[in-house]
Amino acid sequence: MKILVLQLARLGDIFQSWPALRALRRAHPEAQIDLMVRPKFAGAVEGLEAISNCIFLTTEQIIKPLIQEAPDLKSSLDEISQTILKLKDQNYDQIINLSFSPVSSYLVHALQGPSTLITGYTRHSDGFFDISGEISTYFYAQVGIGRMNRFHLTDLMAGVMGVELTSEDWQQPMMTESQFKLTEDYIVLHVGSSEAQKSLPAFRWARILHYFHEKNPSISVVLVGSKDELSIAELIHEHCPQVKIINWVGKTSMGDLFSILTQSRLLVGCDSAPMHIAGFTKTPCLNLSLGSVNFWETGPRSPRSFILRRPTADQVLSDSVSEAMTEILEGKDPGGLIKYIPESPCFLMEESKEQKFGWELILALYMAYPFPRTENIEFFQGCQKLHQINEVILENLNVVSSKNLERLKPILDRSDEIIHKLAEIVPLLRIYSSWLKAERARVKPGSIQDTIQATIKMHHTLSSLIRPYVLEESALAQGGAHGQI
Amino acid sequence: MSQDLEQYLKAALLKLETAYQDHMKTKIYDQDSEKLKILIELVKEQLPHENSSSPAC
Repeated sequence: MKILVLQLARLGDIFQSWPALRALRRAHPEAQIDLMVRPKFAGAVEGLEAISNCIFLTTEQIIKPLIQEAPDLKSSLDEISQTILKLKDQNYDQIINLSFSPVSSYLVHALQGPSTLITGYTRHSDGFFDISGEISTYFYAQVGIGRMNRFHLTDLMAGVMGVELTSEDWQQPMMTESQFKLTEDYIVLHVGSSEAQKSLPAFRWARILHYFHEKNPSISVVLVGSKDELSIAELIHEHCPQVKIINWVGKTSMGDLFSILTQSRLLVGCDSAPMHIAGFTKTPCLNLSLGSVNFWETGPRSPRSFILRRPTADQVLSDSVSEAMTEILEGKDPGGLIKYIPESPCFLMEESKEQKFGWELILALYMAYPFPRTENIEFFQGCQKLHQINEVILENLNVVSSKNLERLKPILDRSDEIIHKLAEIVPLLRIYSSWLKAERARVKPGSIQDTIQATIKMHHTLSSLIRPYVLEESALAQGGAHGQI
Repeated sequence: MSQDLEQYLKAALLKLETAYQDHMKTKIYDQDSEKLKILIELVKEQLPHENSSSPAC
């Protein structure tokens, strides 16, 4: 059996795919499992024993002829043809797309043979977007920036692959011996992140280390990061000369990080690849989760890990961070932080019932959990509107199906536009609008009549999903939900 | 990203999109249109994005 897995995202996503790839190997011990990644992130595949071959999508080589005064389209097309041809020759029995991107969806369809089993994003024969699989559909609808998903990416990737994870999928890989070794007591600080707004400025890191050193003078601090983060590391060093800093930024490979983290007492950093490596080395983490990062999806999964969530770097207090670092080292649970637990969702956070509502609504829609209660009158009013729009759509679809078929597209376009606007006004309704958008993408090309029937069915389902929040007009006029659905 | 590179990418994207439109005027969606779509998306990935930097190359 031959399986191709596409993981065209970044370092962190590749590391988060490791457990699922190992589970896939366990399920298919004899199979050829090839993993496609970007050459830039090849380091994240080092030591991954579960795969047979690592294949590179050589984007730079493919588009290079286009990046010049007179773009050479033919050469780029030849390059992409060669890439497709080479992969098609492998006759993969299954292609699993873990990339969730437009380019990966076209590529998967281009590689598909008549009997290839496809999982994840792909394309219909007419080029329209197609989602194959329940988990990928969920991903499309509810995962990403500003969404309310709380399933960790690692679990979602395992779901896409259809495999069960076990603790052995987080085992540390066998790596060649690293030259980066220390005998002293130390912690690791990853100074950067994939995006500037997801990390702290150098001065803030320096203050944290300054306060940490006051309480832990014998503990060294190892700085790690990419070559691009060298200047941050140098500034940190400059701002706190009293701390014993070992600056390995830009010097280590991904494999070295496994070795460095294994001996480290703690990893401190923002949303980045080392946090995911720590899951394999079982290094406790203090993760500063900033900006648009959704810690539920990408937070650290090593025992005794904690998350400090703040909207911006300005809201991170240096002495609180250093205090939390000390408490973790002392084996205590720092107060007010989000804690990793080996469950799903895998983080424990103190919050009100209302704060949890969006997530519980997702569970009701996708996992048949009971519909959660709320006293949010705006949400009830929004559901009322959504229900009315949905009824109008159903009425129109029933008329269209028997009379004028050409009217279908404008009706659907207009209704989608209105539902989208409604979700902008009442953000919780985005859970419904995204559900609908994903279901639309799953309608296969067929006769107009088939499309109408599938669309009617979809809107009937939507109707049943909104119904628990549709009140009698009189109740809404009195402005009362009062927790009674 | 340098301004020159961004301009090249934008020009490449325009050329690719025009080629795709021209192709679809005379033919149905086929392997050639799919290759053009792959190139379009690869180039788009290189351009600065509102929410994240490009993972490409």
